[in-house]
Amino acid sequence: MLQGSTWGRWLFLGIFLGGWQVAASALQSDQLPGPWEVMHSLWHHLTEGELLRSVAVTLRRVALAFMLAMIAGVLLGFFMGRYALVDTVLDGVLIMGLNIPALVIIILCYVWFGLVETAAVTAVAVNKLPLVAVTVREGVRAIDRRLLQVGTVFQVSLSRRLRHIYLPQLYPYLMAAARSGLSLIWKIVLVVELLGRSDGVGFQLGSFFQFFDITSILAYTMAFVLVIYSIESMLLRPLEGHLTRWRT
Amino acid sequence: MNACEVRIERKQFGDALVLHDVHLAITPGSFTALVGPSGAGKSTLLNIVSGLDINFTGRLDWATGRAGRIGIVFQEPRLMPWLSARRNIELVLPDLAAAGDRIDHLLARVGLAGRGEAYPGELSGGMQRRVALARAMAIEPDVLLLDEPFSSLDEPTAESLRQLLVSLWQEQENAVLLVTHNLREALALADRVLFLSRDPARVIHREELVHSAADRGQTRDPDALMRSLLKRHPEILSGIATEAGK
Repeated sequence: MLQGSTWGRWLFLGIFLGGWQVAASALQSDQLPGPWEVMHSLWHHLTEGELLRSVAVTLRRVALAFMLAMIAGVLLGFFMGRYALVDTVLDGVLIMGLNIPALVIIILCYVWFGLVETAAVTAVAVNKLPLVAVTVREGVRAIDRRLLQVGTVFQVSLSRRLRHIYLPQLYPYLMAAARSGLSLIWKIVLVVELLGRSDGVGFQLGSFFQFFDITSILAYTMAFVLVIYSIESMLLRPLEGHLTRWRT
Repeated sequence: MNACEVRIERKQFGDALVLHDVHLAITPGSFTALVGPSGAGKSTLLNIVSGLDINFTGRLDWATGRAGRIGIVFQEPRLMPWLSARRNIELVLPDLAAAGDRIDHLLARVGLAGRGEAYPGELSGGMQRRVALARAMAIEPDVLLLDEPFSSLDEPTAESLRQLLVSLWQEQENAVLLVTHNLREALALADRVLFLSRDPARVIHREELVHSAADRGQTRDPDALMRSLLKRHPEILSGIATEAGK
């Protein structure tokens, strides 16, 4: 099964690259360079350009914003799911946060905090936070009270109850929040960089855009996709497998 | 071992009176069964004794002045599916270091030696209940509460679990409070059977059973006890304590 799915992934990659190459040869246009050309450019940016440094700078922002949003979102979601009063008070804010365009939050953060790193990270985190809170709130509401009663009658200590009764029920929701949150962050962090930072992948893409350097833009995109796949396969999937190992 | 005196004057859900004047003395080594029609507030009574429900008029007095240790086996096993059988038992032990090989001993006693690392999903329904029983006994409870623990099992499995319960109870001498709608089960196991009425539940009959330790499940004949009881109180199972012939 596993080998079959790995094989399928490679097959997909082959078809994708082949189709791309065919389209590029047929069009013969500067606006769609072929995959070979893009890989060449990727190599160039990797060895002689700013790519590694830009990706590192962007990743740092992603990691910071991710952690901030997860911590704040989990706390918020927990209390909203647990206490009806907190939920009533904050529900309106949450709906607003979910639906305000990312651009508005980004602009407001830059206006209020200035064109600084804190503003950039805050803007990304604030965009992700409501999504985490909503997901965790659902998780807290779905908690099985019958299992909690076991903890109550047997007088299990609070820390053990949290670790062994509460959290395992929340793991699927936390994983969902992490996944969807991460994908949202990738989409927003580059816009944040484009608008107010002078380094990072978003800033670089902005410069390439001004020269209509499509090849470099696609090369950076390719590097980005590689990073995302690595995080998924080396971090998220093993973690998920570990947390759900009891499922048979 | 701690004894407990339960005096429930009134227990209401909204306007509905569920329990009325239910008195119950739970003494060490006693085995009490509560029998009544479904909806007679049996589970509500257990929730009050277990401390899950504190919203009632009345009192719960422990002989030593502080709340005793309570072990409980619910109708469903209620094991944490993400913890192995052994870790499920460890979860309720306040002091793991002091437990020593008690968990191994208990797992062996319930016939699950070597299965401690299995997750509940890998165990059969009967085995999960054995783990739940081992979990309740692991804390050496003053009071063991059983809420229809064998109701959804096939009869041979239920019977083997009853035997297991009796032998574990005889080792530890806890007070047992068993809620059941199975009269035969109550008469086979308990030394005192309380019958509850419905709307609101109150104790309508007490059946004291003379017994010796060896009597339970062996020389005692629950079918004969049942026949004689139903002859005296034909409608007792529907919660009415009319004497026959009156």
